[in-house]
Amino acid sequence: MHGGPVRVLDRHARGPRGPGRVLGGAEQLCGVVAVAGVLGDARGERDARADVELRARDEARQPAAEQLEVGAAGPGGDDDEVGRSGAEGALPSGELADHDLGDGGDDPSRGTRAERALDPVGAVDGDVGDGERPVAIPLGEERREPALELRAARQLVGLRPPGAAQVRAEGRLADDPEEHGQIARGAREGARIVLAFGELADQHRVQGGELAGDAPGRLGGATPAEARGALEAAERERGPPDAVARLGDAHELAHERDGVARDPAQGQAVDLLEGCVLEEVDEPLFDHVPPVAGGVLPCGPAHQVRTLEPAPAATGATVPRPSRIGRVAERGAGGRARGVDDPAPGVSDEGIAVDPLLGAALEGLRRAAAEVGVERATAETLQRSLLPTNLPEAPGLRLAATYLPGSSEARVGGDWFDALVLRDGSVALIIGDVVGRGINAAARMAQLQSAIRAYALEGLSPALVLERMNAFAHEVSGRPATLLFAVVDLEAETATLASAGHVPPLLIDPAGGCTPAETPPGTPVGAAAFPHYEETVIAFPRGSRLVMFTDGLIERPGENLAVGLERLAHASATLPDDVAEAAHRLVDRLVDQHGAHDDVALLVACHDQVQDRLELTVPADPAALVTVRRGLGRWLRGRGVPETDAYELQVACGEAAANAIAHAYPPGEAYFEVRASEEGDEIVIQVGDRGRWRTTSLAMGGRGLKLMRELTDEMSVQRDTEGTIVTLRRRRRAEAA
Amino acid sequence: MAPRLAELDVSEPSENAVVISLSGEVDDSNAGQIMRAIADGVPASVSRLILDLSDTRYLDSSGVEVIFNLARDLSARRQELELVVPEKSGVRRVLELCDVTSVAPMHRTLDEAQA
Repeated sequence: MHGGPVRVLDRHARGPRGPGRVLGGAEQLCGVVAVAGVLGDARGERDARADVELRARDEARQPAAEQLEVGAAGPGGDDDEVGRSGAEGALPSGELADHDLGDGGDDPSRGTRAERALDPVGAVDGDVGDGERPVAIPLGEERREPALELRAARQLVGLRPPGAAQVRAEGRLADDPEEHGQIARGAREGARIVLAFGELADQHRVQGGELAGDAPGRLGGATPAEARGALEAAERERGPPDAVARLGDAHELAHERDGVARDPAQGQAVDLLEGCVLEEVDEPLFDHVPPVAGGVLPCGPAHQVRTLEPAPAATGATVPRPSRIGRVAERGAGGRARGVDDPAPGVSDEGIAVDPLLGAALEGLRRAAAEVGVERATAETLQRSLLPTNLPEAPGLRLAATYLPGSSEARVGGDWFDALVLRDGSVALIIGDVVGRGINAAARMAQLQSAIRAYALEGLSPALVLERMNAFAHEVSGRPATLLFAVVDLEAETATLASAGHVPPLLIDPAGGCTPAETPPGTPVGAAAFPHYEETVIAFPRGSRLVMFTDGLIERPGENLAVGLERLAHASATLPDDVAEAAHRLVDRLVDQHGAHDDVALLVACHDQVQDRLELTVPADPAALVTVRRGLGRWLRGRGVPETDAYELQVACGEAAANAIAHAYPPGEAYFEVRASEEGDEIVIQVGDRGRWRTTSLAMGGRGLKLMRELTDEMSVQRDTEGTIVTLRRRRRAEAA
Repeated sequence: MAPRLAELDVSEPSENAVVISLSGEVDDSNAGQIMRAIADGVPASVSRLILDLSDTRYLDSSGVEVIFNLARDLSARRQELELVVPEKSGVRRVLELCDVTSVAPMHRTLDEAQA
């Protein structure tokens, strides 16, 4: 979809141009521009309200974590983002509704703004003529025409990886919200850029459409309420934007909830973040808007906003800063609202003439897209580099795992899976979900991932591992995380689970029955000082599967978690035997075509049925000896081989394996293979490696060689250029021995 | 679930002997560690180490190596090594095949060793 031409579907809604104030008055025509789109291919995002609901659900499940989030959300706090993004989650509809209702109609500052009007031409570059002025867009280093900017935005769009950003520009041109109440707002989809504009003042109609795309006229001919409804519906369908470029004049900025306040004494809008007084100059700047890829992009009356002076000392701000006509409030990625437009070099600090609708919208989008995009790319890279690339080979236990980044921007990071073979041959399964998203979440995940590995490898019990993790999460402060830790003991055919506020895993019994493996929910790590964790031991016989996941797999906007669990159980009832296929099938069935809204980590563990053959590939590391031994022992017992035979075969095979490890090439990176099968009443075990047994090594392993010979009926060594294969054969001796 | 592959239990030395019980499994991944731990557990004051392998579930040539090395080191300090290995155990068969009895006598029970 992306990369298609931008088309203007409706171009007749240009407001009248001309000098003079565009203030108040129902007869005024004002433009509304909604520039929106999705960067990258649309893989489905969800409604902002869904975000809120999910969050609320999370909170209900993790009350302590929420408390911490809120507590940490202060300015400059490490977890600023967490709290922010939580707060922002409710922003789109609520914020807009506020604007619509308009609480600024009687604003005391309005009288002063017009009086402070500056020469708009002087504020723009000299190439801006009276008649055919291009729209000046503050771009930091340079300015471009909107067509270029649109194209740039589209290029950004095209560059996005799958699982795209949704960025929305919203704002209002009218300085009298009550009268005009327009909202520049749009939704982005695919590479499509949606543009809505129109005359709102007297007829309250939005005329607009989508510049390109497969659903033209989405916004056409609607009243503001209808337009908003349509956009909200689009959001429900596609998900909330990850970033919102907020447009507005000084007056409007004064109503921004973060960072701008009105100085009561002077009636000025004061930017608390930057500490400057904002002033709006209501001058239409541009009579002509250059063509945008074959069409004319109508534009509302131009305004400019500029910085006048440092804010009064009372605000605590001292540094005068350049004008701010738009701001980007990132959601999802969290982050503070920040100024969009720093002046280009050579542009007077006294003011930048811009078209707040077009310029700020595009610039806001561009910046937001760039920032969010960079964050996403970074977070995803970090995230992927941290996730295990291989799952350990645990004989009898088949593992498959997958990670899907969230489809919308900055929803990447913080979910992970892990699996470790412990020293006693049991297997630790881990799934975790760091609160929040983005780079910080991914970085936090890295910390927690390492820590839980260490505790798991210590051989601590699951509840104790979580206790240590909680202490760690407190000590190395950062975001809380939910964790599910399970240790599968195939010898005992059990799984021991402990949960730190994580959604319970699904247990699929050998007959295909699915039940959530209920375990006391516990508290997310890092969320409470002294939480209590409990272990639950569940039976995990051959043919059972355990499905561990993060809630992105089952969550859908506006839906109860139980419904999601139900859907998972339903999807799990008929799965292919192959565990990797089963994992894929689950993702296919549960994650809709647009992709997961949130990150998804999924780990499926299947306790194998008795197999005819044993085939293992294990790292050439002495620590893998126990894995081979256990796997062979279980296989032999599964084939009804008596204990004495089994033990001696384990020793013989262990010696061959130790040799393979000792001579593996390249050292430390190699794997070797163990195969076992039955031929008549003979057990045949083969150990193959890619190294060459040297005569010296055979001498060194003299006892091992002796044991191999003594404990089997036949031992042979085949060497070729590929490596060495040791074959051990032994007839069943039964109890007679 | 055993958190570790093998564990050592060192008794209070008595009658010039120290008893060290090795439970769990010995292979190439932990043999060196076990060797050092056992050596550290033998006070210079005793004349005899009784290494109890009653609860040793697995032992391969690397474990055999440990025993040979222990016997050699103890002998250099004029200390003796004796083993406790249950009669019918896989471990005994492995030790016998490797001729461990040439360096350390094997008892069937701890009582027998301490008698």
